[in-house]
Amino acid sequence: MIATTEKRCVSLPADHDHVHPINFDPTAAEPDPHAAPPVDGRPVRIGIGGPVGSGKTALVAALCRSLGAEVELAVVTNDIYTTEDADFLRKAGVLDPTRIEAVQTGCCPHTAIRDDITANLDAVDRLTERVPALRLVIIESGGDNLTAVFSRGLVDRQVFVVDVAGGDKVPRKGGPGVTTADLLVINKTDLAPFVGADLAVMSGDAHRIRNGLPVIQQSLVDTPDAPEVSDWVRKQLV
Amino acid sequence: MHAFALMLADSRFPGGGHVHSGGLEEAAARGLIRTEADLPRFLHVRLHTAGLLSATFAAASAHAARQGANVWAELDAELDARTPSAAQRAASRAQGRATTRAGRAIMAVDNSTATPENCRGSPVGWKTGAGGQAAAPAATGFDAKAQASGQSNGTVGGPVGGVVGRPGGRPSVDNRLAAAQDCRGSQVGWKTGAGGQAAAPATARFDAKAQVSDTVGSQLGGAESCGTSAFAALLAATPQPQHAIVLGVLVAEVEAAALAAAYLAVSGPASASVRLLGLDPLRVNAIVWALAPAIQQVAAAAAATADRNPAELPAPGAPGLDLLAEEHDRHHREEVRLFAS
Repeated sequence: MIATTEKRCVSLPADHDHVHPINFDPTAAEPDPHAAPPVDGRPVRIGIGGPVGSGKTALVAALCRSLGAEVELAVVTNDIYTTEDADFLRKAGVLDPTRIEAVQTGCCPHTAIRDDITANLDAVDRLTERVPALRLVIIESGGDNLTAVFSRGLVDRQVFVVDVAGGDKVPRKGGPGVTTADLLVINKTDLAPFVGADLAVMSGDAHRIRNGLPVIQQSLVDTPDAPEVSDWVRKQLV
Repeated sequence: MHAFALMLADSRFPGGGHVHSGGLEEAAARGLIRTEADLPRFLHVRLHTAGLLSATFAAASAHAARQGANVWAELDAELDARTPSAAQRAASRAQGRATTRAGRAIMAVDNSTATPENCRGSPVGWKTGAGGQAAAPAATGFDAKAQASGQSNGTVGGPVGGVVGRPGGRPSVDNRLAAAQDCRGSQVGWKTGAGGQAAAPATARFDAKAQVSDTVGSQLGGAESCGTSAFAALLAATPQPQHAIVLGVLVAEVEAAALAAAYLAVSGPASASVRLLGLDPLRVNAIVWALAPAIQQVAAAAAATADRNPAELPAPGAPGLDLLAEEHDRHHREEVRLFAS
């Protein structure tokens, strides 16, 4: 997704109407400028990242439930305890176990999705060899911090998942995950009244800091099949 | 030191090394390594066994790349034969696959990366470097190669069972010829090297070779350089090369390749100990630093045998490390491990 955004130009009066290719304002957030690589008939790869406990695995399970019947899909999990997420998905019965690959990240989940994507590329290769008809591979990162994003060499699109219980300041804090992910999901909205989180503040901060990139609020308790995120994923497959 | 070797030895090199602990995770799980004080022994043994083996084959591969000797299938089989642990062989191929992926990206971005200076261009090539006994397989080209392969199967087939013949099947002879010829840079060189008895088959294949050469060259952006063609020849012979061999080909300098391989044999476990056990990175670094003379000795020993026939390369081993690797693999199926090896 290439987005050219209006940049605030501090050196000229407000009457100029051009745009700048780069914004040197450190407080300004912008969409990731990288276009997705050409797909060449290979499966579309979507990364799901976000902090520990924000609901990444539950979202992946929901996507498997809602999309599994219509799209040939598979999942790569990067949990630090390697098979934890894979076991969750297997037990949930949402996906054939042969379509799940767990990778070992050598104690470095962010390295495995960003700096050295070897283990994940190998896992994607194994899945593609096993299921040649695959159209979608969902790669779930291990729980990490707000700066952990996927390499564009690994995924075509990425979703960043934060949750209401993590505090309503999270979107405002920003970081590459929140600001540049192709989709931000604010998860567990049903918990807002219990943790004193202001959903309007979270949503407002998220939209402002993401400069127009999409934000979806959801609760898998209220909508177990994640319909809005599923629709977004469908659009990425076209 | 050669810059390519520096880059390959850098932990930032995207070759998947960070998920391999070289047996350290299993040793730690068994309580054999708990503190920094336990680390030097482990690293010392690993350097002089697995490290020496890796350095030996990296050096031999760098030598073969420079000479345009197509001994990739033999090197592959011989390294397998010297790696009795299936888990270690799998780890070697996993890292080899990753390094190959990086190598492809390197060739795609800049096909002049491996500059012609990598190619010594000696008209008699391998023959000169290898001396009389090794001249036969290389100098007689791929006919002798086929024999050598058969011989090596016979030699090593017992202990390693079915692994020798593997993976990805045999490439076409023409392909291998083509890439090797690019490296020699001189048809006369090849002919001279081939010697009387093999001259006929080698010459007979020249035409086919020249055609394929164009194909290979264009696939790699038309590069005529030694490293590029050796890389192509390696992949043609062994589509899933082992780590030490592809490392040697990419570095294409004997001493530097040996040094990088020897260093990687200890830097991986050392880094894993920092992440797994929370050891002090400064003290761990100091331990690795203290190994520098030993690393250089190992690299020098490896470089000294680089021109040998693959079957005659040394075979250092550590049964303890082999067992740790096997146990790690077995445990991983029962519980979980954070590292792939």
